Amino acid sequence: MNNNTFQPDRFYRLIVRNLKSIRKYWVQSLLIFAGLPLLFFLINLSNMGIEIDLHSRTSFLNGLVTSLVVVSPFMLFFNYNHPKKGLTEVMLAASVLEKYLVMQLACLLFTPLAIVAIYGGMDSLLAFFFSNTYSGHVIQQIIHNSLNLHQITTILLLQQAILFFNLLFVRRKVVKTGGVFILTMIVTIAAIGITASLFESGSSSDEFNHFNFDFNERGLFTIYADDHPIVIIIQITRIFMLVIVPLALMAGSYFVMKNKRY
Amino acid sequence: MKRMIQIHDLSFKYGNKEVLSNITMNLEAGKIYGLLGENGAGKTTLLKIIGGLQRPYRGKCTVCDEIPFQRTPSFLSRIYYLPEEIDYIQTDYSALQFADLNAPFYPKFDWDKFKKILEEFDLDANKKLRKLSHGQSKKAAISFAVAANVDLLLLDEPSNGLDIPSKTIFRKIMAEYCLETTCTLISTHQVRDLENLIDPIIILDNRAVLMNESLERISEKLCFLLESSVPSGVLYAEPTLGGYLCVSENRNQRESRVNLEALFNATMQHKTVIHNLFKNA
Repeated sequence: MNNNTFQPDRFYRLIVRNLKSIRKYWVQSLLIFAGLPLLFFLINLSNMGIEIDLHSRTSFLNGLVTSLVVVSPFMLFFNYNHPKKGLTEVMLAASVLEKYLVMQLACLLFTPLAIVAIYGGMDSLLAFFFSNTYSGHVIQQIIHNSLNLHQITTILLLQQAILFFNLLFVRRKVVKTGGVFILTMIVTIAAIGITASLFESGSSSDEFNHFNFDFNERGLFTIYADDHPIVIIIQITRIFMLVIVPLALMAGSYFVMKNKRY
Repeated sequence: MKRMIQIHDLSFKYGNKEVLSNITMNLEAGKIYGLLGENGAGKTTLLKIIGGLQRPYRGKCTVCDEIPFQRTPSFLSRIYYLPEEIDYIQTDYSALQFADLNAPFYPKFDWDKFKKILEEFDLDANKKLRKLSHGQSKKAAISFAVAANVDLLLLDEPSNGLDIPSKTIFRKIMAEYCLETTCTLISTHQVRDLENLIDPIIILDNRAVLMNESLERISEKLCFLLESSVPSGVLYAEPTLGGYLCVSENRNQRESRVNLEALFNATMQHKTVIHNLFKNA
């Protein structure tokens, strides 16, 4: 690859720079994510009548990872496209591709890994030493039970949307991004409502009432020949929303970075 | 002299408002150019175009044989743009930490020079930038920009916010920085701060380049003299201690020292005369 497009050494330097530049988050993250299992342990120990079991701890970690991964572009790269504050980043002697990849790595890999490692590490440590009051390991649970393709693709969609709008909007980006999300939800719900009512009028009420669809059971790309038309529409919409839209947002973010004027 | 910046027929718009129109000029290595102009003349925009932060809608700008807006690593490692407002520096860090983060991307960055300049500015390198005053932060930013040892340094109002001793140090640093291989372009309103430093002078006005001349040529064409009264035919006169500082055409080849502020004012008042004077020469 062209030296001006991608150079491993420069890419490595950029990763190191990125990790160094977010060091202010390290201590905070360590305190918060290691402190939470400790807090749960103390609650279990206090005999207050509440027990925070393995399932609750896992659900908590799941929610934490999901929410922080989704908002990570705002947390880590909020000023990237600011006409004044973002100049250090844009003028840094690395290619747009390298900067973009570091951004994706930080949001998609480093953030969830850091949270799971710190939270899970402390959780395992407590479970190892105090198995009577604190049983099971959340890391094991997360790996074996909690992660599924539907959840991962949904997180990816939301995160890529936030990354894109974080780069697209310069001022009041949180409000504008929220506005776009609300608008998208309204349009989606309206479209689903209209589609459902169209099918309801065309099908027998019995067929429609017994219609059932489980996202987790049905694979993302699975469509059967005898599927109800509404299932086919749902599956096509899922593929569009969870595969095509995130890919388009990824490409869009790169394009915005490449052509941004300051 | 090696040509560093080549601008040909360049035009730029913000929305429908044209800020720069059909600009053509070449800037060479080994010089410190002073970019002068009234507010809104397009000085910062021109610096941003040269630095790759803006894209002209017409014409061409090449810097070190590259198109700035492509923002390639090879281009970015050879230039440094210091904006007027230094919000870009990460204020959570000290000057040393800021350099530690960003210096690896400038192959010729000189740590000894960086520390020496910080010392000259009497700046605590370990103090968080947010705890420093605006002027002190600016000194840190200038120190980094100079220590980066880039081929092209773009400075937008660098002396704004600096105290009087620091302005002297700044001039000294910049004079030392100027090598045969480097080019510096300084946009400023504070021409007195940079007197004896900038040469040639570029004056932007009404979306175009009104003047791009060396001090030697300016003093060949114009005469800057202290007179007890204002003689007839002068282009510009301003009262000063002991009489009037007058700018007139240098018809008798008299030697005089160029006063940048008077030059700028004379140029603004007699644009066509000055333009023709240098064009016909």
